[in-house]
Amino acid sequence: MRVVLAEDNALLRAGLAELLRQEGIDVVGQAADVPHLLRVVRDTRPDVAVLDVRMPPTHTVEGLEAAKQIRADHGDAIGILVLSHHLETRYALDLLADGAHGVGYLLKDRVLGPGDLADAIRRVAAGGSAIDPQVIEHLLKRRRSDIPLSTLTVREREVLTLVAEGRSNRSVAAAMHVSEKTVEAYTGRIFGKLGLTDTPDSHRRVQAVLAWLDPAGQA
Amino acid sequence: MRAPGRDWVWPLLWAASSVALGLFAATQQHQEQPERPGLLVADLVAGLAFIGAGLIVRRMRPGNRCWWLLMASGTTWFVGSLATSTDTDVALAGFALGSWHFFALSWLLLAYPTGRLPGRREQALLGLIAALCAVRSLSRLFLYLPPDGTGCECVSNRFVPVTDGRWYAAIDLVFPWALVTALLLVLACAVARWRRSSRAGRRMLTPVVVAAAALVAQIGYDYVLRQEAGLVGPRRDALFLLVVALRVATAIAFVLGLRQQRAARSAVVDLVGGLAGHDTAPDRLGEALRSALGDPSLELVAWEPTEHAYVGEGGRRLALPVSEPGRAATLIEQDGTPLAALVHDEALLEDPGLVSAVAAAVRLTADNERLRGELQRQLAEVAASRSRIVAAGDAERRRIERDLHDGAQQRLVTIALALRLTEARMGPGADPATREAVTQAVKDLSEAIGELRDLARGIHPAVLSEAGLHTALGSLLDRSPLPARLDVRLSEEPTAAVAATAYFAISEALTNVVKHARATDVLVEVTESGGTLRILVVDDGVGGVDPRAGSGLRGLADRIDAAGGTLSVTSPATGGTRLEVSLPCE
Repeated sequence: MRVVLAEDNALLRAGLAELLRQEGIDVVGQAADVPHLLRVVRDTRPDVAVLDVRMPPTHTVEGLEAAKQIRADHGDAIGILVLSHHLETRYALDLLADGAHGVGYLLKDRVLGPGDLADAIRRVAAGGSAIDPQVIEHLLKRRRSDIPLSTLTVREREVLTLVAEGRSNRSVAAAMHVSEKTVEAYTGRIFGKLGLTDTPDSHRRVQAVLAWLDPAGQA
Repeated sequence: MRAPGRDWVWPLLWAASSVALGLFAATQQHQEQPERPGLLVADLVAGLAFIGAGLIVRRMRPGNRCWWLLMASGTTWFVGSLATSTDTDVALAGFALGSWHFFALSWLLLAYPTGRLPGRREQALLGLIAALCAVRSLSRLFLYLPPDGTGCECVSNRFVPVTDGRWYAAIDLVFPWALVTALLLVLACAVARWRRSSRAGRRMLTPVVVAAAALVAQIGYDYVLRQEAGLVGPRRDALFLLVVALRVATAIAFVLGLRQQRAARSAVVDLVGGLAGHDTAPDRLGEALRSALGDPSLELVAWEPTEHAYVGEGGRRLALPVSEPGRAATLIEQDGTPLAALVHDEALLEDPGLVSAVAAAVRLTADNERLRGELQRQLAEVAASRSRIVAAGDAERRRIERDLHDGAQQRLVTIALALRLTEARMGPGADPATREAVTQAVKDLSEAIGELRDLARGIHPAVLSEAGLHTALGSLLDRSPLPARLDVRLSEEPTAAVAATAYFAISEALTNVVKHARATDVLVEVTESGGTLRILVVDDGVGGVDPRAGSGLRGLADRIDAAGGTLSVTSPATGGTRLEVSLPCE
């Protein structure tokens, strides 16, 4: 697993690199700004580019623009994981707008959770998606008055959140400490209640769930 | 109509004693000439006309001095009436002092309409008449030798035993001619004034001049003919009645003339009222002044401090005082600083009070204009400083948010990450308590970072400056538990200040909806047209929102006010709330 890391804070960048190395992920390049990142990505062709939203020179949304650039230059070949200090559902949905193939959006402090970052990188590298649970939480909260959603049990909602994050059944099962079969049963019921068609393809599943959660936003 | 106050005591006493004098003269004559009561009444009427006119003028124009000249004319008229008294002493007094009536009348004519003599020429003329009257009075008192066919048959000189009657005869022969000449000069003064008067000035002078001319002609006729031909009988009586009629006409003419002047002044009052009620563009002010003063040639010129000159209509510079004959300028100043000037017909100065009233009106208008301008400037300044304060507040919040993000948040994440790496490096043989402590520390830090993130977001949503209003509103609605619909149609991103105001307005509106409305549907619409950003937040909740209650909406109203926008909340108790905001986009 080869990763390029872009983060303008040198200490944090070093920490992240160290963390990834501990997780057995090979950091093949590091960058502090967007032009450097694009060059390193072109040169090293990593599996995933992990980048901060805020980068020089304006410290606004350079990371998102870089992500679009990488996607435009290299297509699905290079997965993109955007890290952000802020939880912006719009940024996440914006990233996913072109499809949930190999993209992720995580809160930066997610790196503190054991294995969360590595797990997300692996999902993205595999062409799946990794969406911060808080983004999903917000989207779910927004539609809490929705009738189909209100019919879900607490457990089913938990599964739906994990699925929407972009996790595979196996990942969901691991997170919930249940068997994969149980997860499959859950997803079947959930998709039935929401009127969606279940599919084992995790990124299609994510798209279906997100489209359902944010019917207007994807436009 | 005021009741006569203490300032009326002396005028009324004067009038009463004059009337008493007249009545006394009449009774004295009645005994002497019982066959002509009509003439006695006429004599009384002439004096009373002046006394009455004096009182009317004093009531009508308390500040005008003409009233006492009218009264003096009446009193001296009655003094003259004493000449035909049966009592020789009384008759002598009337005989000697009667000519002062002409002095009072001349003064009145020269000093009209203000009651003050306008110039040295008039003063000299009046002095001459006074001298003539004095000479005649003295000659009649001290040089008269009764009985003498040329003088009054009924008095005798008791003061000086003068034996030579030629002195008196000479003086008495010259006096009428001299007096008539002096009165003709008075008439000439009046005519000269009439000739240089403007329309308004003439309106005021005409009745006086006509009455005065008739009076002077009659005096001349009366004196000269009587002296030369010795008119007697019915023709003399008819002449006397004419004298009386002209006196009454003169008294009435003065009252009418002064009333006319009061009308002109009340036109000024109307002018002031008009100026106070309307906006006063300089050209309209000039028009109002022309019609109020009845002088179509009047021009209002403004003082231009930058050019240090008076500038008339069409930007023409004017040198003041004016050199053109018949024109005069009245300067209007405020605390010694020139404001403007009125260039007008010289005749308007006949009534300086009128012009100064107009000048005061213009000064008030200019003052009013200046104060209004100042007020507007101050209001604009306050509005500008208020929006600057809001903008500075926004900028400060942005800065704090950025500092939190770039500083504390980054540091906390870095530290937490370092702890996390330490934890990983501990290996299996590490002290479980230490490992537990490190794990807990990372967890606590993680929570602290989350709290700090929420705090920073509350201070300023980074997404607003990062990605613009539309995206920020999308995020805002995502965070809201309401099923809200968002419709943003903007051709371009508004300025940071407008975007921030719009964001906070919608945020506050949604907070209210969540808290109070129990709504199931919310629509947020943001559109822009003609330089105005319009925001509409409509919900289907319970309604009954009072915009004045609660600090949230009030704060929002203040903020929108500061941005120069408007807020309206329609929230009937029957349900539903509609909040509309419009913001100028600059």
